[in-house]
Amino acid sequence: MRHAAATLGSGNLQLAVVLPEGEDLNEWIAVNTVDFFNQINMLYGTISEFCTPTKCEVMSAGPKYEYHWADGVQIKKPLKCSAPRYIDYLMTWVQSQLDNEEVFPSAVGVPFSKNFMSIAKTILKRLFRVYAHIYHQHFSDVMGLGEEAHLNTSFKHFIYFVQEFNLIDRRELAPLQELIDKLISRDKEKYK
Amino acid sequence: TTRTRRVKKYSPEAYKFYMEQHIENVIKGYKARSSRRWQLEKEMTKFSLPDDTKSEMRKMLFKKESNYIRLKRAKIDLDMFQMI
Ligand SMILES: [Zn+2]
Repeated sequence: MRHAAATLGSGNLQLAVVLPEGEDLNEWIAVNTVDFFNQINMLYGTISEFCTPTKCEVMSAGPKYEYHWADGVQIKKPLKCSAPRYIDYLMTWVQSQLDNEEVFPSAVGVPFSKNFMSIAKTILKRLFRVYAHIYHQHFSDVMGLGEEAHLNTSFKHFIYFVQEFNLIDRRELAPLQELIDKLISRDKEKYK
Repeated sequence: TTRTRRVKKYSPEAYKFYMEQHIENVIKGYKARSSRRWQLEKEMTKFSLPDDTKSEMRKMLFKKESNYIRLKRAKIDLDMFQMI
């Protein structure tokens, strides 16, 4: 996988993901999860016209990884569908979690539920798949729009965040492990 | 059958602008938060506050910061960038 590793020059994002002293872990996870959803939502929105049922017959991240949609509630048996359909289900499902006051309380003082962390992890695991699909199947579209630095920075920030709190199982990250290693090692050089 | 897709389209310009601003805000925000904490510590030392008062004041700052990020999360609305 050959990808330009252009990023937006900024500052050390790895420092920015660390839990601030005195901050509630769930609150920190929540605000970052919403941020990443917004970024990925917008990003996919810029290339969605290129992600068609013809071009992306299945939800894949390269030839080795294919995803079938199930949410355990409305769709229990994993459904093999096109990438646009899968991502549509995914983003709609994530949005519904974010809009659910019982999962993401918006009023000050209302605590998070006991299963918040597990839901957040599922959200992030699924959002990762959108990045994976975009990198594997739509990177040329991203380049055509001049967005590669933005995508790389967004993804790098996402990876620092999920790694800091161990939010996605390593096996799930396999489709982009090479890219992850490359983006992180470049930062290590830069911030030595 | 043709399904209506629920994911919205966004213009590349809007996305790029958003990302550039966002990354800058992430870095600025983290620096500003550190700075507020450092300021508080400086002030408390300056006025030689007793330890339990210091602890109280830290807790208040932490609570304010936490409430702030909750409100920020609850207010984000991307619809203004949506392509018509
Ligand atoms: Zn696609």
